[in-house]
Amino acid sequence: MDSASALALWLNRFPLSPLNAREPLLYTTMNLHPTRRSLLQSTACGFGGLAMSSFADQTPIQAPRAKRVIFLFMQGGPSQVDTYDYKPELIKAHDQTVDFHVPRSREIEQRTVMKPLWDFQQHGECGRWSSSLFPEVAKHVDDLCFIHSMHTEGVAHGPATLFLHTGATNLVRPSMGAWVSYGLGAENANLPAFVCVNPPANKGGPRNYGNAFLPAFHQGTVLGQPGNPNARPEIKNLKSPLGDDAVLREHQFLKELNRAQSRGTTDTVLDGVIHSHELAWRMQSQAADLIDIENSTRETREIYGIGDEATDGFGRQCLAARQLAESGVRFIQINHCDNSSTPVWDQHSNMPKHETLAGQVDKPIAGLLADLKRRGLLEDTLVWWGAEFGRTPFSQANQGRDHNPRGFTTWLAGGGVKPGFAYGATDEFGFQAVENKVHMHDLHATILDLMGLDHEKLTYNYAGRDFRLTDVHGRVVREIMA
Amino acid sequence: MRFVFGAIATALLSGVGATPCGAKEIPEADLRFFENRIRPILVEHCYECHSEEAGKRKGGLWLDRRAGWEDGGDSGPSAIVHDVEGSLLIKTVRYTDPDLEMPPEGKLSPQDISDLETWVAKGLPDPRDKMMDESGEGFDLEKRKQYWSYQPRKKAFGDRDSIDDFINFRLASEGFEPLPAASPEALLRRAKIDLTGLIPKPEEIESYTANPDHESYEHFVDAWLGTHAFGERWGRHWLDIVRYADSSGGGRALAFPNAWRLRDYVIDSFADDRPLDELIRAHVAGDLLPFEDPSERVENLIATGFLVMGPINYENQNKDELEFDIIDEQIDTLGRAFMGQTLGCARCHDHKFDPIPTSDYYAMAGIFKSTDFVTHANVSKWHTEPVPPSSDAKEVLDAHAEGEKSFQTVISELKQELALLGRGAGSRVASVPILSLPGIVVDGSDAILEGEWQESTSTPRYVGGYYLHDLHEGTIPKSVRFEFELPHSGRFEIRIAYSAAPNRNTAVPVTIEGGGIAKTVTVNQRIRPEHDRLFHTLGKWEFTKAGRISVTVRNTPNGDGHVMADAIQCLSEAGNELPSSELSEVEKTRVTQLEADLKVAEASLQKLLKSAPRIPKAMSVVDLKAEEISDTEIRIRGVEANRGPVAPRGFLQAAVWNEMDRESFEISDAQSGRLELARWITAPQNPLTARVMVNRIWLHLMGEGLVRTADNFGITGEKPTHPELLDFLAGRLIDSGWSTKALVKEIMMSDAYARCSRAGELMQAKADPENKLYWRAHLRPLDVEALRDAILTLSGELDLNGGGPSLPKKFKSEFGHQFVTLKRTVYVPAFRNSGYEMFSVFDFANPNFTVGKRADSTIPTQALFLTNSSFVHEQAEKAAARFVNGETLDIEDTIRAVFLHTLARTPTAEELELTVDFMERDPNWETNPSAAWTALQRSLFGSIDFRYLR
Repeated sequence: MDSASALALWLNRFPLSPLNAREPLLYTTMNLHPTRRSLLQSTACGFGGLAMSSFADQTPIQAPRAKRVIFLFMQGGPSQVDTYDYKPELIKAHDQTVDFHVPRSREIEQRTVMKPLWDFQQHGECGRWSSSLFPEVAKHVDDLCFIHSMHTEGVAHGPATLFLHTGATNLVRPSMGAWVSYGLGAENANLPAFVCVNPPANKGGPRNYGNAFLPAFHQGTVLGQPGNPNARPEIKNLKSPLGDDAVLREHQFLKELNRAQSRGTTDTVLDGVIHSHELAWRMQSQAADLIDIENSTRETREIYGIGDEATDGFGRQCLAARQLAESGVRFIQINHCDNSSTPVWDQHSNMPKHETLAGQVDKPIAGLLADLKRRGLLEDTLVWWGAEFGRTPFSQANQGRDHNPRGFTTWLAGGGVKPGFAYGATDEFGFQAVENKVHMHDLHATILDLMGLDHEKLTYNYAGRDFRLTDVHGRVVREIMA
Repeated sequence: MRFVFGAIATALLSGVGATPCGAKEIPEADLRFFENRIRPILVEHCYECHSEEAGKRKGGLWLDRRAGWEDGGDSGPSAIVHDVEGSLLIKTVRYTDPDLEMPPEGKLSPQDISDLETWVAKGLPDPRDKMMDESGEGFDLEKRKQYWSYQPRKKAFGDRDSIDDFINFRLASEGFEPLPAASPEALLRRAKIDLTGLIPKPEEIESYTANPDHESYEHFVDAWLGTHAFGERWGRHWLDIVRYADSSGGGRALAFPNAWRLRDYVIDSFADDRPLDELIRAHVAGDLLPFEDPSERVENLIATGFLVMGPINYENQNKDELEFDIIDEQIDTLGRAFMGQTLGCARCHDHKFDPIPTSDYYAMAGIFKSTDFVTHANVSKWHTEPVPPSSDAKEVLDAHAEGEKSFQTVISELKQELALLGRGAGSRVASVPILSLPGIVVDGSDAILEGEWQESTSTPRYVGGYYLHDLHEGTIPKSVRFEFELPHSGRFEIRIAYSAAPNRNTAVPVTIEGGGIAKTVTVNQRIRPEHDRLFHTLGKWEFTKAGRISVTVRNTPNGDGHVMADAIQCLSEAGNELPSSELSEVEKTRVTQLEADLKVAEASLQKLLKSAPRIPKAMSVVDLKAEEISDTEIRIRGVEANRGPVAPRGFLQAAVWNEMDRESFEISDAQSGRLELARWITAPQNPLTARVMVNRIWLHLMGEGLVRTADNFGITGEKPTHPELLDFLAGRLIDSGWSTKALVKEIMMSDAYARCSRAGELMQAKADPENKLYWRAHLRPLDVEALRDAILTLSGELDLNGGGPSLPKKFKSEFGHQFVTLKRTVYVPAFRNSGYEMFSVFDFANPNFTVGKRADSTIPTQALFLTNSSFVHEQAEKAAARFVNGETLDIEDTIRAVFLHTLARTPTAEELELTVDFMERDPNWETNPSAAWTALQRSLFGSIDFRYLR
């Protein structure tokens, strides 16, 4: 499904007719009892009754600490030891040969340690470390909650990226945003619950924001274009090539024609067709203004770095994320990625490139944090910065670092996490998580918990089995909660 | 389920012979130790996930009772009395195995770990007497088998002998009056689209409405049944259930350039009415079927492409896991597609609802594990087999092959001579001479052996005369020690040669000692060595001093396969400064000459290969070599590395029958068992297959299946609305020789099929809104294929020449692919990652799964597509232009013609009035009427009677 259809599904919010619900009926616990059907038929617009039946009793188990998530995906895997995981031993051991259990070869190998390419400093009142790669974000460390002990599945980008998004390296499973959409629905009934801006086109592509076996309207709505970091958020077929008068005339003619053709029937599906044209008609005027960057104040654009060449692309994504959050989208993913075969942050031979990349996202992210905070949105918005894995503390091809799923850093901010906090640790070189380890399944469980969902109860019965985002794993990391 | 594993765990435990302390015997000091040191650790770190109090028993393990660690969880007993090293509990808390680290939130303190070790050493004193919880429903195969779908088909139905007999009998008994037949126009449109996916021509409508009797209808049905378009329509239904796609999905979405062969095979199969049982057998075991001529053989191979058509992440670096993921996908798809069974559920535990134990799952996994379906590399690839090229292509290919062969001969001769001189061993030589290898090489024949090692030459490529293996006797400690003198200190690479194969040990410890180095490296001997298929790099190390180096290969107590030892090699990183064999000056000159010639020959060959015409290939599978065929072990909790008992290859116990002639389903040691599996699936006595097939055909014509969960005939699925009719038709299907066309015709000739769909305000609509009794025809939307084909038919753009490759020759990536084809929609590439826009908008079958019945959503994006997309605007303009070509038209006549072409009927008076009004109120009607005709065409595309079968 492409962006337009997913968005429309959500603008519509729910399927328009009982027949729509029939297909998922085969697999889900939801059931369209005759009573619900009569309710549907007896209500003026019918959606209310159906809406209630579209979710599998997934009311939040507790007061949610976060109403929505903004996920900043740094595709390719930024190096933890060059960004936030300060390792003095690594600096001391620079150029020395050390035994590592190398993920790729799955063997113990002797590798030459490489110190971070950037200097570290303590920041804020909490005194958390950050390298000079992210000077602007570093000003917000008192709002950040670092997890230094992340570990995950998958050594290659494809499997690891799918694992990050869906909790499975290979099998086709729903994306985390789709689970959130399924579990909580939309905060704003006129908007999709899950939006993905300019997502990666490779490394699993749409499967990373797909619904798999969940009903189709839980799929992430793509704004912009997969693989194009600078695409403007747009929806397909939203504009007619005709003039306004012609559009109106044709719309009314089709409405009358369809009324004539559905006369004498009580098939709700035919009402559905008529409704779908009405909604499409409304979308043409309304959804176009979902994101309005051009009309933001100059000051706002400035703090996101919009207008500066380096930061313009990601700055727009960050501002769009704030606007979507403000409008009530549950799960917003923005992406620092492109469509090349090597992901953006994948510096196997050229670690200095990290500096250019950080320069593209540092100011926009800091702007997003500041803007959310001053609007009071940071309190119930969880910001999540991370990637599919981290990088090795040893060098590869001279000035590069290899993939490392055994230990890396991610940070959270806002919605229910301890500010200025750091949790877990890697070994002395920053290679492998050793203390208070947080598996990707654990992070998923924790984020769902922050949103008021129990990861063990958020299940979907597909073809005879209850599926979960966390499969049979996952530990809620209560230690990081405020 | 966990009880079955409990049994396994107990079985594994037996023989250990430990008697744990009973509470009574615990000495006071030990009891105090437990209470003071152990219980607090367990309560604080373990109970959260392993206690009744927390309501959690992760991994099937209790740690709040003695019986808990005794019986253990899914991975076996947690602790063994007095055996500190052998106790899983200790292993996990030590964090030595990255996959087994407990507690997960962080390693215990050294004091805690040492206390636990002491506890085990003391004999695990534990006063907690609580029993294992055995409550909950167990897995009772016999009981579950009583469910209707596993029961034999009913064969006697009294005097009922047709579809209408069954349907009307139910209707009458429920007091329902069925609706009358649909109008002739509506019926003919329904029939043609159902049979061919194409809209009827005006002359067909006119001919039928002039004489709308039964014979005339039958005449049309027969004619359309005989078209190739029937194959395109019904082949597409089948492609939905075999999850056909033109790319792999997964991380890289690799293109399937040869998938189209399977698609065309399926289309032709339905056009030719290939019996469904034969089709299924060909999908599962085509490569093993007898054949009369080479073309039949090729078709059979192409059919097996079904098994490698799945959405797979071929990048997965853990190849054992990758293989199991593929097998899992194969089993799950096969179960769903042909038998309506959710077999994938039994990968990790016995099925929660259906009569499918895990052992059945692995019985089938063994069959697929014995099949060659993947070729491994960094990014692995599905298996392919060459297929014969067209005659033109054949000439080019032959010429090329001739050239290649002559170069190969030259190269091989050069290599042979070089090999005799101890240089550059030919890659085809089974035994590689030691002399040909650089660096220091120690062969197994010169190694120091401990324990019995078998000499073998059966799996080629090895160093010297033979290689060694340990007879897979893990319980007897054995080792092979290679020794050599290092002439000086420095950085050296140590390599090992072993003969790789799937039955090898995956974790062979190899210890390197001497020269200031002491290392142990683990080698997975199933992975083919990376250097010339011979040597695998153990590591590169800085040896601080010269002297004796030993490299020791050991077997392991619970190894999962044979341990191999062939040779070791030591290479200097700084260049070939190590001593190797000496040649005379004459020989050296000859070697130089030969090497130069070889270089030229190889470069020429490479050049030739680069310009090679592509050999046509089909996605397919074949059996592995006989010696690699075997049963496989149950994987506990579905974790590949977690091996349980072996499950003999076989089928679903729930669907075997009493009078089954077991011999003809006996799986031999020499074949994978796919042929027997296929024969079992399609046996007339199999209670599932014929019913599932009938149901699939029924739903495409009647809107819903007799079993509404078409892909799930298990206990969580729905029960049939008309169980007897289902069995009646299943019998008819088998009796007709599994003919799709016969069944399609039988359904289409019934009154039930021909009913009107208009529900109106009838009593029936209130009493049976879901039309479970078939008192009317279901209102069905055109699927995306019929919709797009209809639009292109009307614009005159549809290219009816189908078949052949889906992807352009230089296809790179599905991302950004331009869907420009004007062929029928069944030929539009079905990508897994970047789908065609119309596919996603109009509910195309998700190519990742078996889809028996597509979703039928009614969503605004469909409306947006139909009103605003450039595709619809362009096609509507072309369609309108076919009516409007500069002449002055009679507006009403033209409107009638447009309706007849587009909706297969003339407009009602109301529609005519609305349309005339719409046209004439167009402000540009006088100056530019064609815009108004285009607008009419577009509006009709968006109208209900175009989008639905009425």
